[in-house]
Order: sequence, then structure tokens, then C-alpha cells
Amino acid sequence: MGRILVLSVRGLGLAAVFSWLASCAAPPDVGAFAAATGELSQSIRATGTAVGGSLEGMRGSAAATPGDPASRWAEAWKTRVSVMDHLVDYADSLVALQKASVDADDAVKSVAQKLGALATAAGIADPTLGVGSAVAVATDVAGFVWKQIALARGATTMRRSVEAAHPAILRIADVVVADLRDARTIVRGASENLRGRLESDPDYSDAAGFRAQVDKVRLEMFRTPPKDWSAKQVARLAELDAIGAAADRTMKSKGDELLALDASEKAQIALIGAAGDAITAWAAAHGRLLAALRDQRPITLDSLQQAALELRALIKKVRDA
Amino acid sequence: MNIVWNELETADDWRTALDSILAEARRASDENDDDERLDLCKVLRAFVLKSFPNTKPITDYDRIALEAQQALSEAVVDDALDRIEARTTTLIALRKEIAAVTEQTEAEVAKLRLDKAHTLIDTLTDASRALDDFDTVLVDGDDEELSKRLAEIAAAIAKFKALVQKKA
Repeated sequence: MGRILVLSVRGLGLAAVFSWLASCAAPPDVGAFAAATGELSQSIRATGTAVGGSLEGMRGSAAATPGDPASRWAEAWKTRVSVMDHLVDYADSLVALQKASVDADDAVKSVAQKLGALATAAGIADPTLGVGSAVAVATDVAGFVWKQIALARGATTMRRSVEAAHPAILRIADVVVADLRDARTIVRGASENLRGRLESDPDYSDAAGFRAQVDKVRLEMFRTPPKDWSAKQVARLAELDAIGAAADRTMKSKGDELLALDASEKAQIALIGAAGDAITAWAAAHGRLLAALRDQRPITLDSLQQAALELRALIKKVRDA
Repeated sequence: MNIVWNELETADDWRTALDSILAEARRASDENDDDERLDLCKVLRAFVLKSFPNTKPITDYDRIALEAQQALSEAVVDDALDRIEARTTTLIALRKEIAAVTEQTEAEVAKLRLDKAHTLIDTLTDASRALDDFDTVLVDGDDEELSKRLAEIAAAIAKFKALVQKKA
């Protein structure tokens, strides 16, 4: 009778423990957060390549030196890429934590199978008999218990990890946003530098001078137009148009290069702007994740996923430009 | 900066215009105003393109304007690079903080996956199999095979010992 009572009390105790464990929220699915971290990392890498390309264009045919802007940029941006790699590892570790918590019963089953193999190898079990039903039940129970423990531990660890990382995440976001602002300035400066060089080509510069003069004279002629154009005036106008057209033809080849430069600058600035917005959204999403973990409620990361999609499109655009 | 290009006629007009642009450029550089400096780069390019005729003084002004435009744009790039480089140390410190959190999280993942139990059982299973083989080799095998099996057993024991010590 006494033994039955003890067993009942133990049973009640276990039930209470299971009930408490079941009430603990499982760690949330952070797959979308990890995916967005990956996209963000790609955009920082793509920004590095694009800005580096502009600075190499600015260097022209001169040999690379450690102090030139392209080399300085490459060295400095390496740290940014490495930081993003670490953030990807961090996000992946959260995903692994969530998966390990949810799949904890599989880990127990796997250990049980290996123990069976060990018993066979040690000659203490007959491999032909397999695992008995009692052992299978024990494994299932152990798996269930371990899973409940793992879910609770996983949620707690995730909250602690996200809490510990959050101040650094906010600082990183601030620094990278400032870096991207400066990257935008670099793209504008390098593009301006290249424009100056392209336009300083003597043929282009002379033709542009002719074009400016033609426009000036035409403007004068039309400022106070005569009621009736004389044949001389019409001939003068035709002559001006011919000179202007010849100047335009000379300018066209450099003009095409300048247009390509404009398009490339625009695409790079769009990518940099989107990367800045995305890292801000990403840091905010990390804050929402932390709040969700503290309050034990699910999280939504729709806006972050949208930002990630936009980034992917812009990276492609810069690569294609 | 507003310059009415069509009103510039003589070389003196162009020189005066260039002087005023360069004075603005110096002011913008002193104030580290990137937007202003980049705007003045555009004005200097416009100067080179619009200046006319190509007489000696005008081409000299063009050369000065182009050099100023290049120097101004390079200074904008250099200053931005300086600011980025100045933040690198902060980022390295923050990277370490993130790495430490990741390491702790991964350690917990390994615990939840029962990684140590898996490794321990695998090691014991290997050792057990090596010992089992050893019995057979002891009866039927030659010396070379025997020493090979002994080496395997020694390796298994060493691995097991290392695991236990690590745990301790």
C-alpha cells in the first residue's frame, strides 16, 4: 500500500513536471531571420565589389599601391564582409538551436540505436534479436522527456543569446549604416572624378565648346527673332545647326561612356540605399525577435523578407550594369 | 553656385568666374561639405566644357579647372575612406562579441543534440570492435596484423581517455 502511494506521488510529480515543461514555449522559427541575414550579407559583399570597381576605374591604368583608394577600400570592406559572415553564423546558430530543440527526441533515438550497436559489439546483446519492445518504449519515453527539456532549454538559450547579441547588433547596424552613407559618397566622388577625366578628352572638350557656342548664338538669334528671316539669316542658322550636329557626333562616343557611368552610379547608389534600409530593418527585426522571446509569442518578419527580396533584385541590377 | 555662362565673353570674364569657383571650393573643403564639393566638381566640369575660344589663357584656365575638379573629387573619396577606416576597430570588437554569443549557442546546440554521448558511444563501439577483432587475430593472424590491431586498440583507448579528460 505504501509502495503504491509512493508511486502515485512520483507519478503526480512527473505529471506536474511534464505539464510545466509543456507550458514552456518552444523556441520560435528563426529561418526567415537567418535567410534575411544571408541576403544582407550578400548585399554588403556586392556593395564592396561595386564600390571597389568604381575606385579601380578611378585608379585607371596606374599600378595598385596599399595607399590608393581602391586598396584602402578593399582592406576596410574586408572587415565589413567578415562581420556579416559572423552575423550569418550567429543567425545559423539560432536556427540550429531551434532545430536541435524540436528534434531532441531524434537525438535520443539515435543514441539508443548506437547503444544497441555498442552492446552488440561488446557481445552483451544478440544482434539477431534486435531491440526489445521494452527498450523501444523506454527510448520513446526518454525521447519525449528529453524533447520537453530541450524545448524549454532551447527557448531559454535563444532568449539569452538574442539578449546578449542585441546591443552589438544595434551598434553594428549603426556603424554599417554610417559606412554605407560614406560608400554612397565614395561612389559619387569616384563617378565625378571619372566624368572629369572622360570630358577632358580634347576632342570631346572642343566639341562641347563648339556646341555651347552654337547654342549661345542660336539663343541670341531667337531672343529677338525678325518678322521675316532673310536668306542670309536662314543660311547662318543652317550653318550653326551643321556645326552643332558635327559637335554632337564627335561627343557621342564619350557621351555613351558618360551615360553608362551615370547608369552604373545610379544602380550602385540604389543598392547602397537598399542595403542601408535593409540593415536597419534587420536590426529592428532582431529587436522584435527579442521581444517575442521575452513575451513567449510568435514573431512576424514579413517586412524583413520583403527587404531581402528587394536587395536580391538590386544586387542583380548592379551586377548586370 | 550660379554662373551665367552665356555672359562670359573675354578671357578676363572666364578667369574671374574660375577664381570665384575656386574660392567656393576652398570654403567647401574647409567645411568638409561633401555635397557642396561634389556640386562644385560639376561646376568645374561645366567650366571646362563651356569655356571658349580655345586660346592659350582659356586652355590654361581649363587645365587649372580640371586639376581642381580631380583634386576635389579625390578629397571627397579620401575623406569618406578615412571615416570608414576609423570605424573598423569598433566593428572588430563587435564582431568578437557576436562570435562569443555564437560559440555559446553552438555549445548548447551540441548539448541538445547529445553530441558528446554520440561521440563517447562511437568511441566505445570502435574500441570494443577493435578488441573483438584482436581475439581473432591473436589466434589466426601474423605479427604484422597483430601489431596493426594493437595500434588500433591503443588509438581507441587514447581517444576514449582524451574524451574522458575533456569531460573532466
